[in-house]
Amino acid sequence: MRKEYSLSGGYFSQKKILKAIDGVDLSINRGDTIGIVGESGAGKTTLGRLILRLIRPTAGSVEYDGKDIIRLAGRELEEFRKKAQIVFQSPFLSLNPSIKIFDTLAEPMRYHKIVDSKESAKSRVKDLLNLVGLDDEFLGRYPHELSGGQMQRIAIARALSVEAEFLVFDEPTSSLDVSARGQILNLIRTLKNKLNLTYLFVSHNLAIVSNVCSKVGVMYAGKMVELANTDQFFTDPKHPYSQILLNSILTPQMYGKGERALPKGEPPSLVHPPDGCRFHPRCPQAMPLCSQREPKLANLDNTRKAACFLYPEVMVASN
Amino acid sequence: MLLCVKELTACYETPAGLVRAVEDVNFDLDKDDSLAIVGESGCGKTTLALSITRILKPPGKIMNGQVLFEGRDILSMPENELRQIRGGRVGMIFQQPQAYLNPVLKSGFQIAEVLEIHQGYDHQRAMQEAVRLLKEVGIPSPEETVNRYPFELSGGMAQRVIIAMALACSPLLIIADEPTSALDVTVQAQILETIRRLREHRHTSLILITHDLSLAAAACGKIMVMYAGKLVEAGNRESIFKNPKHPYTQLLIASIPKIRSSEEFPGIAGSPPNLANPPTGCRFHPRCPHVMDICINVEPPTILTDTGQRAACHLYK
Amino acid sequence: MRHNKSALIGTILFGAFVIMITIGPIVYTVNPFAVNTINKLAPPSLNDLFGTDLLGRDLFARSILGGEITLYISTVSVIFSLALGVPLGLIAGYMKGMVDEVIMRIMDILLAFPGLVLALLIVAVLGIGINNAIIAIGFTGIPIFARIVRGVVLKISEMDYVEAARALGFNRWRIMIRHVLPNVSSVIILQFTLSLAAAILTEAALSFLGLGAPAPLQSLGGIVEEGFPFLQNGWWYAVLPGIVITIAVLGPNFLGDGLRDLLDPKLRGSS
Repeated sequence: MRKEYSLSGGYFSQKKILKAIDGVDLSINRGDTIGIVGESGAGKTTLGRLILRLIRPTAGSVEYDGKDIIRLAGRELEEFRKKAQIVFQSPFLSLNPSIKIFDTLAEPMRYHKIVDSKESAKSRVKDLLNLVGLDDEFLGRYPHELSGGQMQRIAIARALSVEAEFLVFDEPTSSLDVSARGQILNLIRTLKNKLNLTYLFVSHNLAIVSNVCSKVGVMYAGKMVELANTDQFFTDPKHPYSQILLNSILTPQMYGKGERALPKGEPPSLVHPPDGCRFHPRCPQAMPLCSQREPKLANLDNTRKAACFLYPEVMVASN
Repeated sequence: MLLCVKELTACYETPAGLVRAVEDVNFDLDKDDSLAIVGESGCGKTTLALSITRILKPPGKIMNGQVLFEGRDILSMPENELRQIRGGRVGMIFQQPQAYLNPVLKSGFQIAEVLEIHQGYDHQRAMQEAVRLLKEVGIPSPEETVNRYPFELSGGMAQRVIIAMALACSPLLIIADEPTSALDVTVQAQILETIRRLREHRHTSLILITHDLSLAAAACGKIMVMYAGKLVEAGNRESIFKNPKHPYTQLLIASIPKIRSSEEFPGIAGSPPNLANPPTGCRFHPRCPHVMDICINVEPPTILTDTGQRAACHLYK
Repeated sequence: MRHNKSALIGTILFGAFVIMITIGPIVYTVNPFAVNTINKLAPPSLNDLFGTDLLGRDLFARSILGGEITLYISTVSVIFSLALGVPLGLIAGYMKGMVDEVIMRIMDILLAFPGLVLALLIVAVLGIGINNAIIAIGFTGIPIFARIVRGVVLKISEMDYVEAARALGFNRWRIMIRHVLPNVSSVIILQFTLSLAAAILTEAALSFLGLGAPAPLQSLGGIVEEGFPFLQNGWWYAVLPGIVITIAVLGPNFLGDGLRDLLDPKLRGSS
């Protein structure tokens, strides 16, 4: 899948293209929780939105249950929308401030005719509130009367109101206080098991991903650079960028210890990404080949993929 | 003692009432010390930071207290003396670097300005010093960067420019309010290392304000935990992490996500209180797993515990 | 909320105006149409608060009536502007692209004429009368509503809650009306007050030029027009109704300014 944004540079300069996502392939199986990690500019937020067809790809396809969702329209598109939903990063911004909680939850159900009367709407909304751990008292409230954690629960309830089976979480706890984070993460985990959901969990916080997700995908500058099961990833990360990311996690034990393996430099420009492997300018293990050719994401074994020339499988696949 | 904060109390006058953002906070900071003020949003840490250099603006108001910097009280100083301290003896770094840089002035110019005003340098000398400072804060090509505008810089670079500005006059104290929250994880690690190296080099004291307890512990030797405007625990990082006394601190520490643990995420029940109408007695009591009757009515005194830290909790007498 | 000086002043001024024209007729029961040529052009006194006009009619009573007419014309014309301008702005801001271009170019054409000139043109085409005055003034007010609403809608369309609505599969009309529009209402109310002030002024100008509501139901501006030749010997004729116009204009103006201060921090987000 590719997503390019065109930036025009005015009359006298050429049109610039910002490659937000460049050639990403990803398969998600029912029941997976796959975490997508990476820093700013990695493209992980764009990926989430592309998958749900909230933005259109420049190239590539997204198949859900075998159907290419980019081509869907009318009834079929509606069906897809019911199955796949998103929970945004900031609950303060993702709930309409002028709409009461009851209506925020009831409207999708009424629109999609999941309920047909006021009573059934009310009863289902109450069930939803219950599901996310809130009381009936929230029905008549407006978002600004709620705390961050409560709002995020409503956002999750809203996604579930249309009976979604696939949820994209875009940094769901980054805007929340520490005290609310744990509660929301527990809720997210509980709901997965209770309702048999499939998750795409986008986050920059590796520790959280390690506890919530069964698989991890690492993105860098618009490319997927590693895919692995969580356990494998955290014990033995293969891509140099993954190793640096893991090293950057702060722990209290670090105080006073001078040099860790620190990353150099910063994430690159997406308009003029580096030649060859996009990570090579910052890579402690860069070889001459890395600035000339782009490594493809290749299977290292049947559960791991990486895009790095350190691995012979990648050399082979990139030819 | 470089900095003594005594009984600092600051509020916001809002239509909803008087919001008691910081109440009766006391702490000391010595030369070469590093202190992290930790707490969630609304706990008053930013208000505290702004109060220390008296840049708190209406509707915020400092109601009471003393801030003794090198023996002189900042809160009762005349404005012209205070201006010499701000930027000169005390440097400040804020969260969003781009918001604190003037978008129409080149970065080098902004650093030079600090030097021209506080140290009386002429423009040429100030620009040379700006280049040197940019190098010191780890910017790869300082001669070029000096001529760049803030929007041409990435978040990490912009923050380094701000650090350079804060350090320009070799201050005795740097106050950093969430300096890395808006930055990527790898950039955060670099910036922290830069700050550590600079402190070592220049013997500058540091007050770091953050909501991230791990960051606090990785960066500072002393930690102060705030909740709902009050100081609930303070001590050095070893004792706080090994023996957290206040229930809130314990919960905060437990909330740090550990890699690959399949336990339930501990949260803290309830929500942060409304500071216009805070809970009676101990402000944490509605959410405290160890709450006792006395906690509802009587505010806990700050006590020195057996492991050396101060804690404001009725559990310890 | 009355910490806000502007809002307070505005409320007082406009309140005074509204009280004058509503309670006025109940308390001050003089017939505005009663001709009394013996008492013509009498200066203000306890009997005739604003003095009398050329035909001896009580100017205060006439001003009360004129005020009602002024307010009626101005309010209805602003509602007209709003009813056309808001949907145009909403559609332009949400749909963007070609639709936006077309709508905004039309607004630009309307804006190319200074307000009064446009109103004059329309009255010249349609003829003199209360309804035509309303249409004329209404048209001059459409572009500002369209522009302001479009501006806010552009911003709101980028918000996560609108994206959430799209993710839930709602069609664009539902999103525009149910999800975007309610969040524009505060801006619309603000603009209403400011447009009201402008409309009162435009209406007064139109009437002053003789193109407003015709006799005997003149608005305040019409009375000023009548009294203008008498400024030397009968200053009260033009000046006093003129002062009422001023109060009627300043009221919503201050109110709007005050509202804008209240709205601004909310528009910019919390700090």
